[in-house]
Amino acid sequence: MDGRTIKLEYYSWLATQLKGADESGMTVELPIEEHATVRTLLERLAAENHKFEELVYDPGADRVKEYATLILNGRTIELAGGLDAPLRVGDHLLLLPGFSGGA
Amino acid sequence: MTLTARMLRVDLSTGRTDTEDVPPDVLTKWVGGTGIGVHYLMQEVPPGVAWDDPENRVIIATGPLANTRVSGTGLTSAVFKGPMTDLAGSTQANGYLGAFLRSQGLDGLIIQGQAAALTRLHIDENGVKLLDATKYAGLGVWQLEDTIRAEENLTDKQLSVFGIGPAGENLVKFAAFIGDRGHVASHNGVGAVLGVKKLKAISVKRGKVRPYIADNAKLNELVKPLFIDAKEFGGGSLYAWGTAGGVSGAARGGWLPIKNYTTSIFDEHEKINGQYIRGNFEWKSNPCWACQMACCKTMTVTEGPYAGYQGEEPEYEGMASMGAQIGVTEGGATVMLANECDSLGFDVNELGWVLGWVTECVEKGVITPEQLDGLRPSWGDAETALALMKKISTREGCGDWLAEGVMRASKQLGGEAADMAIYAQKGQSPRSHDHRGRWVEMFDTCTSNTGTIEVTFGGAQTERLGLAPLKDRFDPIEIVDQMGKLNGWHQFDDCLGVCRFDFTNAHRGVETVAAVTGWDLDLHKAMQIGRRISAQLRVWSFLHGMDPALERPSTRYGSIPVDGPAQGANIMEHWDSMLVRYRAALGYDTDLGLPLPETLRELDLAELIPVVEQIRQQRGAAVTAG
Repeated sequence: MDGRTIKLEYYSWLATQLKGADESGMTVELPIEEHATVRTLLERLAAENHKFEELVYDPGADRVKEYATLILNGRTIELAGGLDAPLRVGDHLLLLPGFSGGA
Repeated sequence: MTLTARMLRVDLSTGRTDTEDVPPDVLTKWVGGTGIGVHYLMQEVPPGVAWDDPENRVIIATGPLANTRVSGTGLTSAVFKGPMTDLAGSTQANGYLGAFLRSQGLDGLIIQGQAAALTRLHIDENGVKLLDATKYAGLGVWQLEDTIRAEENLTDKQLSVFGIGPAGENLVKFAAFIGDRGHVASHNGVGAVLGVKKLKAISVKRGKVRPYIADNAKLNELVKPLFIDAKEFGGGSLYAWGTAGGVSGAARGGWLPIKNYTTSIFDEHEKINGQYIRGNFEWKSNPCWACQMACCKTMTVTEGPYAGYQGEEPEYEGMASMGAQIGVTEGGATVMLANECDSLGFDVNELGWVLGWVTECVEKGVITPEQLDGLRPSWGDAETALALMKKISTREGCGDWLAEGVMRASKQLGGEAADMAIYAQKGQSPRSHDHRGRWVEMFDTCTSNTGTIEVTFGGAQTERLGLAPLKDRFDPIEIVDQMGKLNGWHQFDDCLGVCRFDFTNAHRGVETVAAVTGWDLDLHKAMQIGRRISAQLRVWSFLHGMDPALERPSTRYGSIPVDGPAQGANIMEHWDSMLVRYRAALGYDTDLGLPLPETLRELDLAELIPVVEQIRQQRGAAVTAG
């Protein structure tokens, strides 16, 4: 790595299913290219891992899946520029489950 | 043979009980559960009947899947006029009641009148009995269940027991109907309506009547895949951790309610999530009828100040409202409070809004401890929260005022305190989320006709219907357009006698209903049934005085988050345009939100066209289609 990295945190069942980690999650450091956006990163991860495409991001439809939520530097992605948001060195992208309910 | 349904009419004023068959055309039109309930509500509860009038009804009905081998099919739906909204209510609970009613040859109960004293309805192979229940006065629901089962010498897998706690007996406006160890029909004060009727308990023994199944071979093909759908739903989290497994996702995503919406940051969430309590406390499975998901557990706290406390594992709402919403960060304390809430007989959602509001008001000096009989609640103080709960359940001292719910209590106090209360202006309690980070559910809560959510469920949940997920969860246009497409599904599934968590694939679910009923059914027809129910609920509530101008959140509920992932997001600047667009999407007029004549015809509700026209004339409104 040439130092151009961001931190991607997988949390809860997404950490379990995508990284084999426990529910407390796992953070990985990922290299980013120049002019990277959240979308280009998601496209890359979906291309590398079919399960990522199944659970998190559908590149064909350009949609984040229903039960996944993205938080960029503490802001929900829709309020942080959406998938077009540029990724900058040192950014923290959190990948969260998106469901909670009960009685 | 064809599918039939039979209701038991229980007149508590006269002590009469009679069975009546549901006419075939009514059954195919309304199916069961919420649908059958709405049918009887329209037929039998005219305008002018108040929620606490003995002539109000509580229709507790199950549906065609109940008591079958489909996973999680013990559900009942209660339909009534409720005290929180003074409008229609529809609320569901799983467990065994629905299955055992059908095993006794009954598909539901029509409860009317008012008993002279506390009464228990008991059903077994010897028939139907109305028994004196005065000896159960004041009993919490847990103790009520244990007492009745001990008297009948039956286990909880042989005798379903539901009832009301002290909150219901004392007409607390957010009292619930609770049974089978932690299953709660919680919304719109159904427990208070049963309290007016003095119906303390319903006990139904497991009988021998087998459910009608039109195509056994087809059902066999569907049961396992339907369960697999449910098991894998939401990434398998529900199966692994129960609904409380969603607490931390909600906390980090910005939709966990924290200290009455004063902040959206709660670093202690991992101490009160499902993973923590299931990972650290003792538990064992306590599944509902035929349920393979088994998300329900009994639990013993094993650490902290409440070590040794036994109850059920709270659902997400219990952990959120008795945890983050009142600042409690100790898992055992949250489990204790959520269970005491159930046993005293409250809706945990509204209780959380009341306690959080009182706590914030005391913190800011707008309520004094003297107004709370000397109690001084503070964030995280479980014992004072418990003391307040007990006072509310008996309406003792300040409990009498707080028993009205946070909307009425805060309006009575007025001033700054009124702006701190979280409620939907029609009176219904939001579920235990911070909907400022989940706009779709706030909009649904405020526009719903059920007294709780109507279209959403833990988010928009579009994928279960084969629709694309929301691209932007803060896009007001996309939200209402998707809600327009989703409207109907959950009202349909509430007709069936099955838990939503076991029924996550709509297409396969409809196939299953077709296999059981023998009806020619597809997803479109199922959605039409659900939309019919929504429309009839809405028209009924208009007849009972519903004001569509109140389809908005309270000041605090619709406020702008001051921090956290959704900081600065302001739904209110879009609200009016969302209302217009949503009503148009449903085929309703855009000023009042009443179904248009062509919509009523399409939903096989042409009989309501003159009713709706009369309402429009009374309200001085012209038809304005979107």
